[in-house]
Amino acid sequence: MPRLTLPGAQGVICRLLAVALAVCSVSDGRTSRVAYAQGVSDPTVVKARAAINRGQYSEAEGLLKGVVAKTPNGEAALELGLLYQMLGRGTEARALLDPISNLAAGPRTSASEYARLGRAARALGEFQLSNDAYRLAAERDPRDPAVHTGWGELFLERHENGEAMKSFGDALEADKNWIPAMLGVAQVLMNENPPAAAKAVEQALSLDPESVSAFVVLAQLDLDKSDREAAKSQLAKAKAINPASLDVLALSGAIAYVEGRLDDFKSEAAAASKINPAYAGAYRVAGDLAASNYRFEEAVALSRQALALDANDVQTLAALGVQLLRTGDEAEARQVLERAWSIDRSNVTTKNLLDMLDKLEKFDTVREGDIIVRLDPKETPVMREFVGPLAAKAVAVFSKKYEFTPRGPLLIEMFPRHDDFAVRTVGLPGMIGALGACFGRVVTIDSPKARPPGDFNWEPTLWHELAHVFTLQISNQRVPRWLTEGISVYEEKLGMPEWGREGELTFAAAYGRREHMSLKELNAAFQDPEKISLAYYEASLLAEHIVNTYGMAALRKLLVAYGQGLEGEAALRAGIGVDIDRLQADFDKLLAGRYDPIVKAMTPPKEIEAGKGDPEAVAAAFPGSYQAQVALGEFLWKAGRTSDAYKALERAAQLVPMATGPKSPHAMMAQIAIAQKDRARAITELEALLEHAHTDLDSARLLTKELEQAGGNNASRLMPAYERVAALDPFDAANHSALGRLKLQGGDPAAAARSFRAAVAAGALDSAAANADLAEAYLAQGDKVRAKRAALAAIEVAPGYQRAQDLLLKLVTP
Amino acid sequence: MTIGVSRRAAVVLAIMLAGIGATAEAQERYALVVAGVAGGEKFAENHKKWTASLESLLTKRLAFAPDHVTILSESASPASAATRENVTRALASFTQRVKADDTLVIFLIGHGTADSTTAKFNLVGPDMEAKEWKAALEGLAGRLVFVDTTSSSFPFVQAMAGKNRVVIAATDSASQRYDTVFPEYFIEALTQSTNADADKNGRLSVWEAFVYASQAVKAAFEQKGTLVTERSVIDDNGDGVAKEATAATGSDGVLAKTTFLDAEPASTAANAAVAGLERQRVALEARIEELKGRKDQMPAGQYEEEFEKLAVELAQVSAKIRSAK
Repeated sequence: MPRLTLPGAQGVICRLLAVALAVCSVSDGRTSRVAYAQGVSDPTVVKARAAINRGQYSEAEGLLKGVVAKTPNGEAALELGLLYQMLGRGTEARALLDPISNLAAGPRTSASEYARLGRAARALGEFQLSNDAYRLAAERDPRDPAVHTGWGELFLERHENGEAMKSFGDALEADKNWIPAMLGVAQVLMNENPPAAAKAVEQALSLDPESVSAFVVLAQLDLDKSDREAAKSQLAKAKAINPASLDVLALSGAIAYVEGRLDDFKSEAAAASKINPAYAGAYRVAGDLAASNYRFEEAVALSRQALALDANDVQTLAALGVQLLRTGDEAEARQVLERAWSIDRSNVTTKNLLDMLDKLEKFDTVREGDIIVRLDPKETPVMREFVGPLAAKAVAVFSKKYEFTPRGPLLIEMFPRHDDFAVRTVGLPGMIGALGACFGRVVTIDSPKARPPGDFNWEPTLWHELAHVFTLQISNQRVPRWLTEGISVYEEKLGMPEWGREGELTFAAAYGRREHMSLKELNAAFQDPEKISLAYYEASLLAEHIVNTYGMAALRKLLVAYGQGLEGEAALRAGIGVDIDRLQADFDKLLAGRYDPIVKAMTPPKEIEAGKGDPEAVAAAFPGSYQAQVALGEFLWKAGRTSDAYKALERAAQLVPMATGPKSPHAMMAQIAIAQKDRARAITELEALLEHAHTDLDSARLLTKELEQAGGNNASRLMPAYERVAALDPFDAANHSALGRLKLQGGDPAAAARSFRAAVAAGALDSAAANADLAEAYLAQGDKVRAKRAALAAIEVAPGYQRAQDLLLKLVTP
Repeated sequence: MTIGVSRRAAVVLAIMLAGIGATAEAQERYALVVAGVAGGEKFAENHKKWTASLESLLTKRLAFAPDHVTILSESASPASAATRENVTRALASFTQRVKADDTLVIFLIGHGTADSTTAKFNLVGPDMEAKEWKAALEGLAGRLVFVDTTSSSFPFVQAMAGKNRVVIAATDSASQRYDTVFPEYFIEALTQSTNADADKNGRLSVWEAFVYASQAVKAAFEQKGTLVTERSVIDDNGDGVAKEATAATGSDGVLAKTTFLDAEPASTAANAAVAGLERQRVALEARIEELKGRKDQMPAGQYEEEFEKLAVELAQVSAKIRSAK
C-alpha cells in the first residue's frame, strides 16, 4: 500500500492554479472558437479578444470601449469588464459587470444572454446567480458547448470537480473540438490523472496552437513531474504569444523563486505589478510552488507578501491556511481559514479544514519529549501507550543514523476516520491509497481504526513518515520525491524484518514485464497513478543500493547536496560521486541479480497457463517454475498425499520466498499442518508466512493461538507473535493481557505495565483481572502508588477478588 | 456491577442480593440442550462442537446429574433426535420433575426464523413456534434459564418471559437473521469461568456469562472489521422487554445475577468465629456497594479514601477467613 507523503501538497497547489487559470481565462487566445455562448459575431469583440490574447490590453480596451458605448450590456461590455478586473481596475469593472448581472434588467431570452449574465455574476462573486443563469442558458440551448464550458468553469472555481467534469463533457458532446472544454477537462484531471490531463491539453493545442492557457497547464503538469526545464519551455512559448499574461508571469516567477533566481522572481513580480498593481498572484503562485516543493515555511512568507498586496485575496488566504497547517501552526491557520471562509463560502477545502480543526480541538495532546502526539479521545487511552514511544524510538534511531537532530517540536496527528486524515492532509476527503503524510515537522496518519483490521500496519507507516522528517529537514525541504520516498520505504524495511516487504512481489512481476522505471523516469512516476506503487518500491531499492554501494555517509551527503540547492546530476555527483548513467548501470545489475531468478520462477509454463497437463508431469518438467510447484502442491494436498504436497510447496517457497496470500506455499503448508494437527509445523509455516505478510492479521492471530495451545517454554516465539497482533490491532485487550503476562514473566515489568494499561483501556472482558495484572506489574517496578491504585480498581469491579485483595494488603502493609 | 439500574437503586439491590444469594440457589439442576437442524456441513461442525462442549460442561464441570441432562441433536439416534416429538416429550418430562426450588436450563443451538407473526426454532422435521415452547413449559414450577443462541431468536424473549425466568436471546431483533457466534462465546464463558467471573467471587452467574458473551461477540465483530449483525439481550424481570448487557436503562439482571449453573458450595461457616467473619465480609461488601452507589455524588478524593479503607478492611477479613479454614 503506497504511502503518499506529499502528493496532497501538490494536489492543493494544482487546484489553486486551476482556479487561477479559470479566473484569468479572459486572457486566453480564444479568438474565434471561444465565446461565452455561441452566436457572438461582433467582429470588433473578436478582434479585441485577439488583442487580449497577445497582451495588448490597451488596444483591446480601445476597441471594446467603442462597442460598449452602443451596447452597454452586450458581449463587449462583458469582455471589457473582465479585462478591467484582470488589470485591477475594480471600480471600472464593476460599473460594466453590475448591469450585465442585474437580474431585473431585461428581458433576456437567449442562451447567450443568460450565459453572459452567468459569466458577469461569476466575476462579481455572485456564484448562486451565476449558476442559475447558466442553468437557464443550458435549458434554452442544451447543445451550446460554450454555455456548458462557462458553467464548468464556474464549478471548477467552486471546487466542484465532478460537476465541472460533467459540464465539460456536455460541451464536448455538443462539439468534440471545443477547445475551452478540453482545457477544462485538463484542469479537472490535473490532480487525479495528470497523463489524461496532458492528453486533453495536447488535443487543444493541436486545434489552437496559440492557447496560452494550454501552455500554462502543460507547464504546471511539467512542474508536477519536477521537470522545470520543460515547464520553462512551455512558458516561453506562452510568453511569445502573450508577454503580458499574468498567469505566465506568475508561474515564471514562481519557477525562478524555487530555483533560487530571486532577481528573476522579483522582475516577473514587478512586471505583473505593472499590469495590475494589486495582483497578488505573483507571490501566491510562488508560495504555492514553494509549498508543492515541500518548502512550507517559505510558502507561508510568500503568501503573507501576497496578502500585503491584496488582503482579501481569498485564494491566498485559503492557501496560507493550508500552508500554516503544514508548518504546524494550527492556531493561525484557523484564523486565516476563517477569514477565507468569510469571503468565499463555497470553498469546500476551507470548510473541510475548519470542520477538521473543530474536531482537532477535541483531540487529546500527549507529549513525548519534543514530540507532540494528538489523538482522538476515544483512542487516547490505548494509543498513547504506543504512538509516542514508537515515534521517540524512530527519532532516536534516525538521529543517530543521519547524524542530525530534527527541528521540533514534531507534531503527529492520528485520525480514526480516514476522511479526517485526508482533510487534514489535503483539505478534501478521499486519498484512499494514502495512510500517512509528512510535511517536515508535521505528520498525519490513519489510526488503526481508520481501516478494517489487517488492512495496514500503523507502525511502519509512522516509521516511514518520521524518516521523511529527516530527509526533508536535512535537505532544507529540497529532497526529490524519489529519494525521500525511497529512503522512507528503505528505512521501513530496516525497522522490522517484515516491514515494507509487501510491494516486493508486485515489483518483481513488473520488473519481469519490464514495466519498472529508468532512474530518469522515477521521479515523474510518483505523479502517475498507475506507476506510483512501483515507484515507491523501486525507489527503496535505489536507496538501498546507494547505501550498500556508496555508504550511509554518501546518502547523507546526497541529502545535504540537495539542501544546498543542487539538483539532478549535480546533486548525484556531489553526493555519491557518480553520474546517473553509471548509477543506472549499477542499479540494473542489482535488479537483475535479485529479480531475474524470481521472474524466471514466476513465469508460468504454457501448460499451466493453458490449464492442461498432469501437475506431476508439469512440475517434473519445470522444477524451477513456482506456479508448477504450487499447482502440484495443491493437487497433492487435495489427493491426500500431504508428504509429497509439502515437498512441492517447499520447493515453491524456495523459488519465491516472498509469496503471500492464501494460495502461497507457506499459507497452504500451514493449512495442511493444521488439518493434520501438526501444530509444530503449522507454527513454523505461519511464522514463515508472516515474515513477508506483516499485515495478515488473521494469520497472526492464528499463530498466537497455535503457540498458546502448543504450550511449553515458547515465550521467545510467542512474544513477537503477540507483538505483531498488538501492532495490527492495538484494541485487542486479550492480546495485550497475554503479552503483558509474558513480559512480566520475562522480567520486563515496565513493558508489561504498558501492555496491561492498554488491556484495561481497550476494555478487557475481565476488567478485574486486567487491573490486578497491572497492579502486579507496577509492584514489580517498585511503583507502589500506582500498584495500589490498580489493585483498588480491581476490587472496585470485584470486591471479593482474592488476588487483588492480597495485592492490596501487600501494598498497605508497612 | 450496576449495569441497567441507577446507581442508587443498584445499592439497594446489591445489599438485597447479598442476603438472598444463599437461599436463591437451585436444589436440583436440570438441562435440555437442543441442537436443531444444521442446514449444511458448514454449520453442522459448529453445532456439533457446541453441543458436545455443553454436554461435557454440564455433566462434568458443572456436575449436573447425568439423568438430569437431555441432549437432542440432529445426528443422534431417533430417540435423541432433535424432533418436535422428542422436544415435546422432554419438556413434558422436565415440567413434571422440576420442583419449585429447582432450575431448568434450556439451550437452543441452530437456526431460528421469524416473520411478523411467528418465530420458530428449526428442528429436524416440523419446527416448533415460540408460542409452542411457551405452552409446553407453562406448568414449570422451578426457575427457568432459557438461552436461545440462534438467529432471529429475539421473539422468544417475549414468548418465554415470566416470573422466575431468565431468558437470553442472541439477537435483539427478529430481523437479525445471520448465523450467530453468540453460542461460541457463551460456552467460552462457561468454560473459562475464571475470566468471565467478573466479581471474582468464584462462581459464574448467568448474568456474568451473558455479559461476557455479549462483549466477546462485539469484540469479535470489531476485530473482523465488520458490522455487528447480532446483539444479545436478556430478560429476567418477566416483562418481556429485554435489554443489552451494556444498556444504561432497564431493570433486568437481578435474577440472573443470583442464578448460578454450578452447585451451591458447601457452607464454609463451620465454626462460630468463621461465621462471624463471614458476616463481617458480607457487611463490608454491602458497604462497598453502597459507597460505589454514591460515587457520582462525592468528591473524588473522599470517595477514594473511603473506598480504600473499606477495601483494606475487606481484604483483611477475607484473609482471616481463609486462614481460619
